[in-house]
Amino acid sequence: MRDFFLFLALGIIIFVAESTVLAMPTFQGLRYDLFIPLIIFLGLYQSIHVGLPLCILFGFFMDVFSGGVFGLFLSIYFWLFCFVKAVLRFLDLQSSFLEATLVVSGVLAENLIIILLMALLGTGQIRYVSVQGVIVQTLLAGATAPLMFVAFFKLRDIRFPKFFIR
Amino acid sequence: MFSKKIVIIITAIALLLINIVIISVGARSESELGFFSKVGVEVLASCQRSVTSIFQYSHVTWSRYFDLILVQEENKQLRATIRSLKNRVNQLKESEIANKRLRALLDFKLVISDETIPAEVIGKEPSKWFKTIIINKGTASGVCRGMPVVAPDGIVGQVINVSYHYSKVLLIIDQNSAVDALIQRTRSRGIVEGERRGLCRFEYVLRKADVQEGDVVISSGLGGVFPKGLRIGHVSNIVKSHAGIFQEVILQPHVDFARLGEVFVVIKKQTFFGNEEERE
Repeated sequence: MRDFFLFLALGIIIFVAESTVLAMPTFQGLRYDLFIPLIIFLGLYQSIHVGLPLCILFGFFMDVFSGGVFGLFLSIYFWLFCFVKAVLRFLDLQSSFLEATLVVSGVLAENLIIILLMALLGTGQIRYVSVQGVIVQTLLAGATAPLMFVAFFKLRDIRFPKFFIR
Repeated sequence: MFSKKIVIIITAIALLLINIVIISVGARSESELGFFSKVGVEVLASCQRSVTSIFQYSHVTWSRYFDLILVQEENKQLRATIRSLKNRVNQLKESEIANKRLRALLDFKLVISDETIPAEVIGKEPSKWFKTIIINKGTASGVCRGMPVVAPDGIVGQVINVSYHYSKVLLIIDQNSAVDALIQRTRSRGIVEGERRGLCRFEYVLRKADVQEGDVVISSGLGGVFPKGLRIGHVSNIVKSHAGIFQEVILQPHVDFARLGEVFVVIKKQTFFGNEEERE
């Protein structure tokens, strides 16, 4: 329960940052969906009881505020979480390199799913695809993923004062 | 009968298909925000508002400090601008009087209403793929879905979702947006749609239509959403292909969406006759 609220708070901070600070012109083209590393982390190091509701909540946040079809981000985060859990059954992924690889794959998958789904739905929502933008996002995700994972571990292992726990 | 692995795979595929069907149905329906969505918007938008306020305050303080040196020079320029604008306002008043008189003569029913709600932009689209903003006015202030949103520079977009105190606005630079428009100089009609990198595309303009770079594009009022005569942008690029009946026209919107801070939600449908051609 402690981890649930801890990562929920982190998710809200990420969401607010993505829709305010990171949406400023200064960061234009230099940002990717910061929920992806968090979802991967939850998939790798948290139980389904904690991770799955959080993924659904984060997807819900994004869908409510995004201009896309409702359920788009919720589905992406849900299936990404399931994918990580499924991969964990076959591979030992607890190394920095493989964590970064998963995040890069996640960012790429998110972009591809959005493009494919919109094309499939035929709503004409995605008519222009910036390949350069997707590449920059992917590279940035690969470069920053290890740092983000360190931050997530620090957050998970944070010790609250005793009076707070009571 | 089936192994556990096959059951899991079949379940996953079934879930995926159901997921796609649900999203497809959702994409085609235009439902209002549900209760939980509204609560989510209220809670998260409050956080967005606080963070945006802090950043705006910091930005204002920073700007004021560094801009102090430039203020004197700017002041001189502004005084000169005010003088010229006063003359312009006087001219426009004269035009307005003449316009009213002529319209009365022609028995035109001109409805001009200034009923707008000022709103502040408190958040922007969290993903890279769509272009929306969150404003701090909702149903409590009388904002409804479908209302046009404007800024002093021109059209901003349209309200697509409304909560109690917040609304989501689809910007005209989003690929889903479409505004019926015309070129102010030649009255050639077309549809303004969102394009990449904050630009717009003026679609369905006949190849034979006279379009030049710098031409101002205004709303035609025919779409039923935006009032007539509002500025959208100016033509920045034209490509006339050898084939086809339309030409490719790219617009630079007049509104600076990257720095958009305050907007106005137009409550009543109104007719603006603010463009020069119609005044004359």
